[in-house]
Amino acid sequence: MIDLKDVSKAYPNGVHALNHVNLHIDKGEFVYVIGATGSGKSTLIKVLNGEEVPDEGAVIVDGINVGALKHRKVPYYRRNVGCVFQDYRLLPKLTVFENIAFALEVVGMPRKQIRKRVMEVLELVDLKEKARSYPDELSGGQQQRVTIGRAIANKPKVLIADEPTGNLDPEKSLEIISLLEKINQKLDTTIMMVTHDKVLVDRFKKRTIMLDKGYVIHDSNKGGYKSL
Amino acid sequence: MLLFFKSLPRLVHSANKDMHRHFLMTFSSIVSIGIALLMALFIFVIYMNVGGFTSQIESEFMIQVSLNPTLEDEEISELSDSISSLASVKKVTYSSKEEELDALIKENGAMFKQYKGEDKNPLYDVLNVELKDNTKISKVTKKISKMDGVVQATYGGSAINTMIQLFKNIRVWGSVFVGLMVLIAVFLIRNTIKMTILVRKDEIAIMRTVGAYNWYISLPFVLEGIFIGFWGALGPVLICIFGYTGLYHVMNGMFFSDMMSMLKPYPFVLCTSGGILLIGMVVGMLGSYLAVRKYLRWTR
Repeated sequence: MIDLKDVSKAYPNGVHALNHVNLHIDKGEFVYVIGATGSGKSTLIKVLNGEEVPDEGAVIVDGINVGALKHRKVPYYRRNVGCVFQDYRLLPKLTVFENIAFALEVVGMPRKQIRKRVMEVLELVDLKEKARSYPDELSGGQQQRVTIGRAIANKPKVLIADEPTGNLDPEKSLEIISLLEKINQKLDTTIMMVTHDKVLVDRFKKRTIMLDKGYVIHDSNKGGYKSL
Repeated sequence: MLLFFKSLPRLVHSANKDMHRHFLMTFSSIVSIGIALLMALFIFVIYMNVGGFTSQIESEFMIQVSLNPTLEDEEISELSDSISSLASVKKVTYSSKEEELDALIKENGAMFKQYKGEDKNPLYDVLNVELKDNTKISKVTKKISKMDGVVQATYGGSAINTMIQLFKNIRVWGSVFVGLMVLIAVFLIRNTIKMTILVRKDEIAIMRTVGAYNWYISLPFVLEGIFIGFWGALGPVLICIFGYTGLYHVMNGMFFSDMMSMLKPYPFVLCTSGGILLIGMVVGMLGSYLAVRKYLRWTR
């Protein structure tokens, strides 16, 4: 599903964010990406969702060479890649329902289908009774579930979560990770989760990729920090 | 394309919402574009109405050379040739005194008919001299009037000159003023749209991440600009339709004297209104396009 072949990316200020990264992630896999601040995690996400173009090498997602995409084709490609952020990024003036519907509206889905799909998604993220609430009436965990719902509404093949538990207490973090696991298993969505959370990585063991200064320094199928 | 039409109501709604959000900015843009278009309207109306008048005057930029009645045909053609050979003379045409009288009757009415007939005609045979360059008119006239067989050489005179210069000035300075106002309008609209873009920054970022097309993101802003232009143009359009028609009726279709008749309101008013609406919308689109190009540009 995701293939990175000798990918390098440097920024104009001279920072080498990624150095000769080679990665292969299969369809339906759930991987953690860990590493200190400035290790290149964010850049990895950016080359995957088409925000940045790698200087060298190729990023191939679902058979599409992301770096070589024409500018105007990027939006269409992005529908394959759902993104979840640490800070939720919900629209405060829209209800939960409208926030999720928004993602479907902007890709031009008919109103009837939107209604149906949003209800499906709300069912999946277990927020049906909060459909009419506004984001500031929800807890952090619930808000993050709305974000996840919005990210998967378009049925993306890949879901990238950028520290989805970063702002949450441990209990709520479990909620999120089990939701992501559910999505991973039920919808066969490939999930890449960037995280700092040692407890989580150790408890829910999965393939773990460690970045440092733009290099992949560990890639272990055993999972957990201890295996690294 | 299908998506475009399906989502148009949604985009229009979004544009409308944004206009309410910055009502004051929107309002000032509308007012400035309205003033610009109103000025343009006045100048255009005056120009169109005066246009016919000036072309009438300009055709009189002709030197009329009255000929001594004793001249033989041969001498007349000789004189004509020597005038033609002057620099800056374009054309010399001969017109007999009977033809002159006919023209006079045609222009000014039947009361001149009394001069018709043998020996009653008080006019001279004339040579009408057209010039390549009208600014040399007084010099050439002087030269011609010194020639043999010429009774008198005249042209419209300086009154016409100043009048034409005045109209020209109104036209030029009016256009400059309108141009300036349009520039200000474009700038104001650009700023209005910029504010909207900044307010909706989060929304736009989310739209980008979930894969909205670029045109889908930028179209509401362009629409907003077009709406501003439309509302701004509405005032001048109404003034044009009702004001001009009313004026036409009050003035009985003429300015001051029947020498300057006004254009008929229809279809003039409708064409002008259409033009003003179009200009307003284009100006609005231009302003929003500038903002969108600068603040919504997305590169990677």
